[in-house]
Amino acid sequence: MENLKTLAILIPILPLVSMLLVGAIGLRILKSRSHWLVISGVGGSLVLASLILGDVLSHSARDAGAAHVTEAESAVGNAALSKSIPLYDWFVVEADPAQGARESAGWLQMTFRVDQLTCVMLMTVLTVGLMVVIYSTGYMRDHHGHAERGYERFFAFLGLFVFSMCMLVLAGNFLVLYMGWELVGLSSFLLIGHYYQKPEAAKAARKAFIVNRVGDFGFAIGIWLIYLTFGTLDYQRVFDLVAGVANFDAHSHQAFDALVHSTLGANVNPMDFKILVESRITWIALLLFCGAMGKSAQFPLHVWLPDAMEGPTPVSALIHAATMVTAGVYLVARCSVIFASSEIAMWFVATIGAATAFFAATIALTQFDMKRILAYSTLSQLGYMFLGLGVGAFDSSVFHLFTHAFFKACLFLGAGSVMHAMGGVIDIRKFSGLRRQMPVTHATFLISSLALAGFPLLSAFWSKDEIIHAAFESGFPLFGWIGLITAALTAFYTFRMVAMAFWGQERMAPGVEHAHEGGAWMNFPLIFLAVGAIGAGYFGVHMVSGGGFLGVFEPHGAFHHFLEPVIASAKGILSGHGAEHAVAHAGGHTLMYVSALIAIGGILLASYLYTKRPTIPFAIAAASGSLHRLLYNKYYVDEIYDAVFVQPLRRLGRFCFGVDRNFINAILYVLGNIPRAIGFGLRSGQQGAMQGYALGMIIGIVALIWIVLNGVG
Amino acid sequence: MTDTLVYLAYAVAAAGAAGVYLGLPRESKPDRRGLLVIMAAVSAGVFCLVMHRIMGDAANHVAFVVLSLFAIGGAARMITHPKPVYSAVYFIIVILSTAAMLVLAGAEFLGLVLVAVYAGAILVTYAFVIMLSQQSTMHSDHFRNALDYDRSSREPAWTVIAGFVLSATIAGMIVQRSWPSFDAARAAKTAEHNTLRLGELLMTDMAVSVELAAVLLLVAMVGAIAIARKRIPHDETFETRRPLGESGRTAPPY
Amino acid sequence: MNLATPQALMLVGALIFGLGVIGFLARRNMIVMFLSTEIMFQGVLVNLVGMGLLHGNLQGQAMGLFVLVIAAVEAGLGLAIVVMMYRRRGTLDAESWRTMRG
Repeated sequence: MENLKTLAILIPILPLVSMLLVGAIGLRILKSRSHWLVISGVGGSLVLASLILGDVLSHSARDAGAAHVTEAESAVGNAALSKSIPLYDWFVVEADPAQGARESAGWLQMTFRVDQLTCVMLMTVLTVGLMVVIYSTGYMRDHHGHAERGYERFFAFLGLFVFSMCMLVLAGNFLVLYMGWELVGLSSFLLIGHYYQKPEAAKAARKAFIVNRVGDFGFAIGIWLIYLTFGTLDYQRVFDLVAGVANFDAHSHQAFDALVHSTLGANVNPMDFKILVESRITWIALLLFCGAMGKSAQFPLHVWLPDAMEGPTPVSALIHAATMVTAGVYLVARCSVIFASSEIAMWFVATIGAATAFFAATIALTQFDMKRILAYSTLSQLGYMFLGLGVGAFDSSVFHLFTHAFFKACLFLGAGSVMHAMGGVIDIRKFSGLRRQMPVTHATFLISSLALAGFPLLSAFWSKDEIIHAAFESGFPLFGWIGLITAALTAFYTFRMVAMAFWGQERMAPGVEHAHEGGAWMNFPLIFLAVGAIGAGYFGVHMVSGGGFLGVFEPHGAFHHFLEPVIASAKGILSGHGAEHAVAHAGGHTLMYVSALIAIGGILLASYLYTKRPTIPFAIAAASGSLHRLLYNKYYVDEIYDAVFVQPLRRLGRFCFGVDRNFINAILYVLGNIPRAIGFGLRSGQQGAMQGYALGMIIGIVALIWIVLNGVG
Repeated sequence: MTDTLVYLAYAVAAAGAAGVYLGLPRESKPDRRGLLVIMAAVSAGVFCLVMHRIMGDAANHVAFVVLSLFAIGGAARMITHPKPVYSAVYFIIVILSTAAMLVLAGAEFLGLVLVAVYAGAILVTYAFVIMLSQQSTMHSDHFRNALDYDRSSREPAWTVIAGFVLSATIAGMIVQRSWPSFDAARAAKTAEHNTLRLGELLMTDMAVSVELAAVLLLVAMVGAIAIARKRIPHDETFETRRPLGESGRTAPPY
Repeated sequence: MNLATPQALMLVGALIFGLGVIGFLARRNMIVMFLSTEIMFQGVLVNLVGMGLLHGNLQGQAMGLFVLVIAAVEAGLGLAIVVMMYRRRGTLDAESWRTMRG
């Protein structure tokens, strides 16, 4: 364990140190060499994370290795992993002896937790992070290889982001999680606003921050409610208690009583506590989900993500596609026990996820800005993840998170490559046929697009299909149908974008003579991530000798087994609620064929329409009229927010300003003028004539003498 | 009896105030010289009466009263004369008569020093400054030739009232109050060998004070030289030739 | 030897002092204003001698000497300042230094 603790501490420390160093000496000394520090910091963390992964795997191996390891031994191994690693006592919350001994007498600790889910997140974040940092080295330069203005600042903030994200996923209790949560929000704000001279970028950064604040407000209340209810913020204690309540057995509850007494103190009545938890668990889950909605940009808090594309493209790839926005998914997966305990919360999560998936996909159909299409695509894929979480397929969601990180980062980086070549233009109406001049970008972009579209045997095919399958089995098949339709839309809009940008007649953006690739710094991450887009899915499938998909593949492979211990408790609760949730997702091969057909159909349709018959889509758009306008204007959500929240608040602000100016200022004016009026009265006596003052003095002396001689009265 | 004296003292002050008010220089004043003379005479007469009542038994009180009349009259004329040179001359009269009064009071040394320092040193300084600054108007005695700011007073009524209320208050106190009984014999002893004994006092009990006074004089001398030798540029922006008497007239009362 | 009574000296001193005050307040010529302050010193000096006489010692006369010193100092410094002000304005009018608007 000590070994694990050292590694876990070092992982966030390395990017932090690199960030601090770049921040301190970047501007003066490192300048355009700043990237080396951050690359080595993130790379070092990646190596450490691999070591942790190996360590965790060796713990889990006793579980997976079956035969010669007893149940008890594997339980010991997992119990060791689920325990928080205390770093130091952070601050005292309450020193109330009546509450019993909790958290070593009221201290909130800085704790880490390293388990299978943490490992997955760390590997995802650090791999994609390293690729993006390498890519940025090429991207944040002009065509002559000179670093842009703010180069070192950019890398310092990237380091800060990686640090924050590591803190978020390593957190061992809700408070540390919240700290990391806010830190990633901060770095997101800073990086979206990297080009702060651009008013849109500054506005987008503010918008992201404020919308996130709405979600974080609920999140903070949720954490507070957790503390009020459980008296602790430590993950495992909370989860144990929730699981104890959920699995409560009226006939034999000695174990639960013992757990409550040991955690909350001997004077707590377990039955009262059970009722309290049952009354609050739905609220806790919904409030936590509120934070997840903000961070992961789920409807109705999604509005910040498309605007966040004003930031530099590597930032969009890393933060707003691959890692930070998946923090919400991570949160729900981490708190799967809490969510599983509340059917309402699960239903809500699934609904929001399905709605966002469909809604964002429809918007993406009509957009022309490549990065915005990708942003809506990200929304849609996050919607898938939440749908999967909501129907109880926690492992599949995390699997989709994992695969999505690779191909979506690759897509964004490819879009960045195009943008770099087109001199900042990203509107796909302004250029086309780039495939000859940018072969590497085209190839990698195509692979990732196929993955996103759900082309068979590529990564997203496996993960997305599992989610749809779980949705069909959830007892509410509408979710499954939405998933299928969205998959078709996804395939269509993805290849609409590919066809318009890369295929067809060769046409450059205005002012650009000749497109060219961004060089090795940019190509290497593209290729690496494209390989990931192909291969990442195979962590989650396993080969069978016959009967699976195409006769070979069977979903739910090593990845899911690896994650099994983390979500076992939630699965157990769900299976207690209703059997259909929990059973293994064996079978469902028919659905895989169907979704493969849908994906291929969407791809072919879009390719045909946008390369061979480009007039048809315009005709459809013109014919559908108001529907197209509705989609093109993103369902007018921004406008509705403007009318419902922004304008009334602005009016309130104006009203307050008016009160301030007309009422409070008037009072101050009166107050300020009293001395002025007195001064005006006294001023006539002050002329600077010394004899006048002397006369006043003499009169005073006379009065004084008179008083001294004759007394006052 | 003392009450009467008080009222008499007040009367002296009031009549003197009227006289000084009439005598102060003013632009286009109506000729009230007769009233002025009457007021001065009333004031002087009542003053003599008061002095007589105070020191009626002293042998040389007539001389003292005459000298005090000279001193007060000289002071009054000094402050009312429109020409600084003449003011300086009346100032000499005040000093000489005061010195004589001091001699009568037994302070011979102080009287002589007064003449030497004031009439000898200080007044010469004043005369020097007056001549330095007002050569053009020195030679004519006529009122019209005085400078404009010497031909008008500043708030004559208020200043006269303030000044004489002050004088009347102090004078009333002096005549009304029951002072410790005056031991004429003991006082006369202070007059014997006055200079010698004063010197002994100054060199023994007050030696430090004398040293301090010497240092003070030295510092003042250095300061005066430092201030006066500085080349000060003439303030060109300041308008010196204001309409006659305007600045004094427009000043509001206090 | 018959001496003047203290009250008489004090009375004369008070009147001379009051005249000095009037002169200082009423006259606009700065030289005459300073002469008036000298007159006030005279009044104080006479008063001090009267006090000394009343108490039958020489303290009053000694203090009178110091008053003389102060008067000399004041005359020297005051006249230096007057000269400086005269150079600046070209006039001895005290009103010319009244520059506040009021």
